[in-house]
Formats: sequence, structure tokens, C-alpha cells
Amino acid sequence: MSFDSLVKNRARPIVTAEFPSINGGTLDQVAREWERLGPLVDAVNVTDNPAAHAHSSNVSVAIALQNLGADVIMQVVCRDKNRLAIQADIVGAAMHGVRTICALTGDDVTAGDEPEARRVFDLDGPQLISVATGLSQGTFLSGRKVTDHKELLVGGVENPFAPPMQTRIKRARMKVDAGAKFLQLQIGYQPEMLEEFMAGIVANGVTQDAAIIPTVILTKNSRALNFMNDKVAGIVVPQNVIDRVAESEDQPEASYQLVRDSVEHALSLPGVAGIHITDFRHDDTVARLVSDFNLGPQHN
Amino acid sequence: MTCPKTLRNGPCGGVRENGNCEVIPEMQCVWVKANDRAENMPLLPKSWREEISHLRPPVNNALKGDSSWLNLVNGKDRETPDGWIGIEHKEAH
Repeated sequence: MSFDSLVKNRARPIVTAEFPSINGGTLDQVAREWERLGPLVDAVNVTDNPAAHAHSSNVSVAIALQNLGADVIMQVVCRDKNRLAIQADIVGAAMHGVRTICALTGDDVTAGDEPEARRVFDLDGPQLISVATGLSQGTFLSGRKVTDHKELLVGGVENPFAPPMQTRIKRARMKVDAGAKFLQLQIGYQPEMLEEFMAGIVANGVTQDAAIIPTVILTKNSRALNFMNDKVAGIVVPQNVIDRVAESEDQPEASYQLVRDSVEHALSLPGVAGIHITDFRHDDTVARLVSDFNLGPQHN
Repeated sequence: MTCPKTLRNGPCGGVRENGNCEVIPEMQCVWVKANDRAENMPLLPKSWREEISHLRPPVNNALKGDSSWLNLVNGKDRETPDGWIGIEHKEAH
């Protein structure tokens, strides 16, 4: 079943995964990663210069994956391009069949390896959702018509783990009112915050109108958790979580059990429509996870 | 507007645990501050508290350098591009 259908009918939990960044090379590399990840998940997210590092563009990788038969979610961030370039990317990718857009504000340039870059943010995340929804309805922001327009599936992201909680709940509502049909949540290690956020968006109707997909990150050791806690804006990893992995004799297994518990918890919450996986292990753990929870096309 | 990312629709996902800015760690996030102030607005009129949750349109960069007071009076700062959808029921003035 397509990602689009699952978002609309939510017949079963959805599983999506972040497609690894591509740094040049040839299309063979995209194909290799796709062969590994593709069969396991319902759709893959193609990132747009994640953490403010330049990579092969979102549009180029999205088109390559589309041509391989993938269900692609093309992430679009507001940091690097103005409204003209962003609209051109969305309409251009749609021409190749890429019809699912995930709109993000994007990390600041200072998060990346070229902090001297000019930051753009001509649009912000909620505005981009509205602009993409306009393109889906056949109109550029100027009012000019898109030729033979195709309907897009537009989604966004929200971070339940960054304060203030009540604003996050309202902001999710704003994004859905602006046209988002799904929200992929940022990674977090405080389950009580996810619970509070989900309860809030169940109460304000967001979960009826959009598929909510929390994220888990597959890591191998406590070093990765420490790195996220220290270096990544908006992510806090509590010390007891780091200790759980650090004090284990088998850190890769303890890391997996941590993710397993997170997935179990997330899927138990009312309004959660699935799970998004970011894989920093690059081993067979994605396959293990989808198998353990009977997720994805192989188990349905 | 002191948000380093010039965001117009609330705080980004990079707000730190203490409510400070992703880009300037020693500064409180301006949207966290704005949110606190909105919550402390008088109960009536209700719109004063709610307006912070309304979707604001993309900034009209053509107005840069103009008098914001003049643009408020003549309505220029409320004009939006023809293709802007926004959220109608929440943008009533």
C-alpha cells in the first residue's frame, strides 16, 4: 500500500526511514542504498542538506529514487533557498513523479560545516506547508497557474521535545490547518514529553486530520547518544538513558533494546500512526526492528 | 525581529531545554519570550492572546526600508501574494 494511502486510511502502522545522504558519485550508490532499505519500509525520506551540510540535492536523489520505484518523501528546508527556488524544486520534482513533500524550517547554518554561509529562511516551515499546498492546488505563490498540476501530499515536522510544549501543540495544529497531512516528529528521549504532546494533539484534533509519525534513531553505542546530547540543537538525552547503554557489556544490543522500548511506547500512544527510522548503524538493525514489530511491506 | 532565522510563525525545533536560542545559546528564544507575553495578555479581547497562533504570510521584502507605521496605516503590510492560501478562518482581522 502506498504511503499516500496509508496516511489517508491508516490501515496499519506506517514505517518510513531516512535515506542516507549521498555525496556525489553515481546513481549506483543510490541504487545500492535503496536495495538495502527500500524493501523494509513504506517510504523513504530524502533529506535536504541535513544538519546544514551540503550533499547531493534533495531533488536529484528524490528523482533517482522515484525512477527506481521508491515511494519518496522529499524533504524541503527553508534555510538554503528563497521562495522562487523552493517552488521551482517542488514543481520540478513533481514533473518526475515526486509527489510527497515534507516541509521543514531546517537547522541553522551554524549547525553545519560551513557556518559562514548566508542563511535564507525567506519562508518558514508553516509558510512552506501553505505554499506547497498552493502548488498542489495548481497555483504558484504569485497567483500564476501551474501547468497541468498534480496533487501533492504535503507534510511537515514538529519537535515535541523542544519547549514550550503548549506552543508545540498549537504549532502542530497550525501546520495541519496550513495543509499538512502528516507530521514526522523529531527524535527525543523523554517519553513523558511525547505523551504530553500526543495527548494535546489528540485533544485539538490534529491526529484526526494528519498521520503522526514519531522518530527513532538507530545507534550503536553511548558515544552516539552523548554526541546528540552535546551537539544537536533541540535534542536532550537524559543521563539515565546514556548510562543504560554505557553500562551495558553489549552496547549495540543495549542500544537496540532502547530503540525497541521507544517504538513500543510510541506505537502504544493514541494518535500515533507509525514510526520513522533514522539509521546510523548501517547494519541489519532496520530489518530486525520492522520484523520485531511486523511493520512495512514485508510483514503486511 | 531578533530571531536569527527571521522566523515568523513561532519557535523552530532547535529551542534548547532552557528555552534559549539554537543559534545564540545565551539568548532566550524570542518566540518563547513572545509566547510568555501572549499568555499574559488581558483575557479580553480574546484575539490578543490567540493571534500568536495565527499563520503569518511570507514577509514582503519589497517593503524593506519603508516606514512600518505608514505601511500599517495604509494597509500595505497586510497585502499578501495572490496565491497565498494561509488559514482563512484564523486570519480574520
